[in-house]
Amino acid sequence: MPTALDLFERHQLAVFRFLRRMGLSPADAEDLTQDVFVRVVQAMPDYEERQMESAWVFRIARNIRLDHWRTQGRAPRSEPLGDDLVAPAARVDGLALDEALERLGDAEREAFVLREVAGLGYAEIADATGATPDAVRNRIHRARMALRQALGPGDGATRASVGREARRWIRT
Amino acid sequence: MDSDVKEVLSAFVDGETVDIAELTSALAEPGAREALVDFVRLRLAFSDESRPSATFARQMRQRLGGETVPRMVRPLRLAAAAVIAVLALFGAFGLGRRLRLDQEEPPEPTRIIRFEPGIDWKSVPLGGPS
Repeated sequence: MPTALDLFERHQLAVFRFLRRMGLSPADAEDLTQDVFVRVVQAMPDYEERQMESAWVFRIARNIRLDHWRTQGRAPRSEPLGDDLVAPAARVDGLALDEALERLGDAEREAFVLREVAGLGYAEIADATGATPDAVRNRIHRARMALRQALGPGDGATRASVGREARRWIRT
Repeated sequence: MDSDVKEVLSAFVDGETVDIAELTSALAEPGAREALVDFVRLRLAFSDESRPSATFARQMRQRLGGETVPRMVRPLRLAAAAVIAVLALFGAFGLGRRLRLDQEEPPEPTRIIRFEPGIDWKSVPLGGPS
């Protein structure tokens, strides 16, 4: 049985980044990350080893985000992303991509961010969001197709990075 | 290129299980290479380096580290540790004393001094000699 501290160490960055990419400011993302792990502690007696740990934590994170949204009475305003959030290879197209991400439907955006930023698999995303794995696969694909439109033509730096990423990906 | 065909490529990029025949077919489609490269470029574009502040992480570690032990358990542990320490102290003292009694025989006398009443000392009434 993991401790609350174990869960925090394993998931805090992913939860924070998920909340940031879902449009929260750094301060709000920190506050909500704290709320997530407070609720994780409260919910630990209900945690079962057979559950997917990431999915369980992100189900809580998702509910906290939706509660925050309801409290605000509107969709959270997307904060402009800082340089810390945008990888160097993407800065050329960063603004267009951020706007494209904001224009996505919430389900597509959430599935895409859980996949790309939090690193969850389709089964974990399905468990965290209550969707089927097929629906998750479809949402992520729709998000990719929409975001692809915002990608500019790849420059040399991006192409080199793509090469590195492809090699890393093939090794794994 | 058909969007559904690209969905196989999208799942493939994510490391999900895909049907080999569908993947083969998708890869043979025009635009498949460009789609794959764009999917990887998107991954790079959204790779995230943000992190919460160091203060936040420190406070959370303190808070969660403390909360892994239920509130009532900590004072009980301290009390139990104190009782064990006192018992260990008394136990060590008693054992040491017993060992000393067992092992340290009184030394043999080197000479015997005898005192004779009236010779070596005289009885004097209370208040001194009158």
